[in-house]
Amino acid sequence: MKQNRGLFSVLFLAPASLLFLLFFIVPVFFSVYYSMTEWDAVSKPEFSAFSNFASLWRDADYWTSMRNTLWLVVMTLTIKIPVALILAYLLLRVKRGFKFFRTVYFLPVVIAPMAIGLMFSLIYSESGMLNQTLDLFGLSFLQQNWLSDPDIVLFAVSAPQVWQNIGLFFVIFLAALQGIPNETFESAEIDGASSTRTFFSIAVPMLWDVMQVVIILGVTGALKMFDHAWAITQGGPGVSSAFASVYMFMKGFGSYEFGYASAISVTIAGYALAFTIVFKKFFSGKDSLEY
Amino acid sequence: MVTKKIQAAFILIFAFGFILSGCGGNGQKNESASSGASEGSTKSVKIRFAHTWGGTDGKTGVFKEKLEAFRAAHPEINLVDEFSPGDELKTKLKVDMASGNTPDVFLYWAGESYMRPLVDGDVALNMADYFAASQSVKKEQWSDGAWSDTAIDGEAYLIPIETSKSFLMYNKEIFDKYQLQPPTTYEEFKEVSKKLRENGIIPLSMGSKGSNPGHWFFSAIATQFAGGVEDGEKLSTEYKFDTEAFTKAAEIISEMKALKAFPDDTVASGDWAPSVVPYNEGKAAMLFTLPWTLSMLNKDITAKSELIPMIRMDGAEKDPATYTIGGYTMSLVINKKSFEDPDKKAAIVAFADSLLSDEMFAAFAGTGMMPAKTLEANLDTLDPFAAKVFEFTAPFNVLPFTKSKLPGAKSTEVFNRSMDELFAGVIKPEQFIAKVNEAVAGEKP
Repeated sequence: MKQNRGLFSVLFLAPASLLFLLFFIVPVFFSVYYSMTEWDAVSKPEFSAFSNFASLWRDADYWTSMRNTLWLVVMTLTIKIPVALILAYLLLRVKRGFKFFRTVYFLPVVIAPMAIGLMFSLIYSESGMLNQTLDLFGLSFLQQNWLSDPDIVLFAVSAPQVWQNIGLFFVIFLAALQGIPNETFESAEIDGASSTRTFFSIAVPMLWDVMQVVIILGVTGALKMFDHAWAITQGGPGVSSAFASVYMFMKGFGSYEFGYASAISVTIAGYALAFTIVFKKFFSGKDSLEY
Repeated sequence: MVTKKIQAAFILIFAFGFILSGCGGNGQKNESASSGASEGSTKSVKIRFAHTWGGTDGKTGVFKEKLEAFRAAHPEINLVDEFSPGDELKTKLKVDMASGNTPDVFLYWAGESYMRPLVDGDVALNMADYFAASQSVKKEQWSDGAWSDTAIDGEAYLIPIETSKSFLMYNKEIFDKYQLQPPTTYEEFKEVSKKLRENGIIPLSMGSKGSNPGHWFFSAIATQFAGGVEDGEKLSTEYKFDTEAFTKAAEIISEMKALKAFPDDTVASGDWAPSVVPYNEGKAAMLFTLPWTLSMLNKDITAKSELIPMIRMDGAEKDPATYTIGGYTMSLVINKKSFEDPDKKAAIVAFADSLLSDEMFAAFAGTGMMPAKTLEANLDTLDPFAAKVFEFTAPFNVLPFTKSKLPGAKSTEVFNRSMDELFAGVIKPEQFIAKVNEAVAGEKP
């Protein structure tokens, strides 16, 4: 009986495991292999050991794209996650219109990132909605060349990503908050705890497990962010708004350097893996608070 | 323990086979679905054609019609057409090539940097083989210039379909309102720009995103100076970009940027559709563009528009009133491997013959496309402004755009990015020249 149950489990796990192996693990190994080749996607790859990685080390544009990616990671940790958590906490206390607001905040998540990118490229255009709105409110001095000023363009391409991803984290936090028994919040209220105190002393500590997942999702998601920046500026001008994955695309599909592009993708995967391991190791054993 | 392992292995193999059989089933389904109208007939040969003639492309309707006619006339051929809009076709084809799944026939961009990898990688068929097999399409039906401009190592690996001629237009209503004359020289252009800007009008609708359309304007300036055309021709042999003509062109663009001759945000106004927006909205007085944007121009704006030759730069050696920047762009490429497959060869020849027929080119010309094949254009079927553009540019010689002469994809990618930076004013002309020069020199074998 026990043996049959094992067989039954393997039977059901096998298809998913095989698909994962075929479409995820195997391509990862292929990428690692291609990262050690000179390959234009048309001719046969030529093995070049670690020369692509050595070139990456000296490639100023790669480091610019990594700096831009780091900026997005910082935005994720300081804006996306805190704002999503605060919104979820506030909505939890809303009695009327709960479903409406939940839908409104989640709505951007279901829109294709490319569509959002195109929408924002219109908003940012010289006579676009943003500059017109600023003009309307007498704030013409704030009007900018949002997409061609290298000091501003990174903010411009990051904003839609932040806006879109907040909805995802918001829903995760909301679901987790709804899992905390109401009595816990009621007890705190009876004891005279303010909303702020309840948030920091009950909500945040009790969500720590979920928070860890969201941080990992947010950081690894930021490392591979592509669509918005490509749709809005194609990473330009130059590489001013190129994230690591945009730069990888430029090298692979722009200049036929698929070996080099694979090396960039391997470094992105490496950073994501390293972050996850270090983060989990550092925070292992720090479980959510339970009352 | 061993039995358990055997059982696990058996289940894995079973599941694997199950998945593969599932995939196979889907494939058959798709193929049968793609049979389309002539379902029930025997499809002995399947050929794939990758193209950009769909979506908002002006040729979509005509192409679909001709495609259906071909399918009806050739029930033995299962023709699968694979549409990707604009530059996305490049991405699709690179993925296809990398995975050994190159379409049998496809559209591609003419130019050394685009075609060189396909020739070196033995993907593109030498078209001499196709002409030898075709009964109706002959090399002589194209001009000598079409072949010399698109040849790789002196051989034809593509057949040009679309040609282009850039043109400069201005909004007469705006010029009349501010009592201005359309500029013919750079000095006049600067004066006109100053007056237009004082009145809140953008002098020239121009931007650069992925270098479009900026690099066409760059070529229109560079080719006016001594050696400008020759410098472009020598890019693939001498690997030098830091020439006087290119440097002067970069300096002029930088100066125009400083004079606010372009929209302030050149990235937002870059690429084809956004580049015509300020002109369409009556916010820009002049537009330098190419025929494929004709369908994007508002009728009420074209009614107020007039065409003028490109502005003559100070110290120009070549008169811009005698030529235009253009050349062969979208072309037909045949997959060499497919052509050598005896089962596919006849089908590929039949389909290419149909695509390259006078009838097809005439139909495309009716949608505003400038045909690369030598044939009498019937301007009566065209939109009046498109006909005006065709007539205006007809006497001009066509000089190739500099980008088409870059020696490889790596230097093209750097050129594209650096052009955006130059137009945005992020880098100085000398930095632009140095960056591209380094990339071009890096292509030296």
